[in-house]
Amino acid sequence: MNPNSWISKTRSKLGLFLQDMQIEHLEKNWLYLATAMIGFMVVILFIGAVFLHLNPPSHWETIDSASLHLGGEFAEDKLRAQPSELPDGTLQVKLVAARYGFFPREIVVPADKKIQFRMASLDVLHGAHIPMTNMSTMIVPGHISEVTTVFPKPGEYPLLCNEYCGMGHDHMWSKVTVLSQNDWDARKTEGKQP
Amino acid sequence: MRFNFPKLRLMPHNKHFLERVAMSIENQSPEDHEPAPVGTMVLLVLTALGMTVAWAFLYFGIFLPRGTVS
Repeated sequence: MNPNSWISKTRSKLGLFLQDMQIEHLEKNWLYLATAMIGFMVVILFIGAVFLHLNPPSHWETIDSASLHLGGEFAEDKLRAQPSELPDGTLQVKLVAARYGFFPREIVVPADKKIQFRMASLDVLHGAHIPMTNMSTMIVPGHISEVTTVFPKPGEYPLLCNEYCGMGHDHMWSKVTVLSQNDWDARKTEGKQP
Repeated sequence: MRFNFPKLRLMPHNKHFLERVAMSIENQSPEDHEPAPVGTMVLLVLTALGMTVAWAFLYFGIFLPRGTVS
C-alpha cells in the first residue's frame, strides 16, 4: 500500500491515536473491521431513509379519546372494512382499538398497494401488529397512530394487540385480508367497495 | 454514623501479573510487536464478512420484502 495514500495516512493517524491508548494489535484490527461494518450499515440505512423514504413512522397528532366514537373521522359509522382512497392513490384504513377488540373487526385491502393505517385508542394503551409484515405500532390514548405500508403477499393475517391492555388482552385481535390485484378488481366490479 | 467500606486489595499474585502486563504494553513499540498469524487475520475478516452478509440478508431478504413502512 502506498504510504502517502489517504487510507494509509488515516490508518496511521488512527493507529497512533489507538497506540497511545495501548490497545493490542489484534484488537485494533477488529476495531477497524467493526467500524467499517457499522459504517456500511449506516450508509445503507441513510440511502433508504433519504431516497426511498424508508423510516420508522413518526406521525404526531392528538385526538380526544373519550369522545372519538361520538363524531369525527373515528365515529362508528365511518369505520368500514374497505379502505377509502386518498388523492395520491394510497388506501386509508381507519381503526379504533378498544378493550378488547379492533373496530372494524375485519379489513380487506389489496396487495402491492400503499395502505395507510390511521388508528386511535378508545381507552388504554394498545398495540397493533400484523405478523409476517412490518405493520406494528403502539396506539397511545390521546394520539393518532399513522403507519403507511405495503402488503406484498395476499392472504389472511391476524391483527393482534401487542401491548398489554387488560385481562382480555390475549383475545384482542381482528383480521386483515389481503387480496391479489385480480381479486380486488373483481370485488370492485361486484360493487363491494364504497 | 460511620460506614466502614471494605478496602479493595489486589491479591499478591494478581498484582504482579497486572504489573507485568502493563510493563509489556508500555515497552512495546510499533516495530516490536509481532504481526498476527495469517490464519487469525483471515478468521477476523471472514467473521466480519459473515456478520455483514447476515445483516444484509435480514434487511434486504426479510425486512424489505415484508413491505416498506413509513
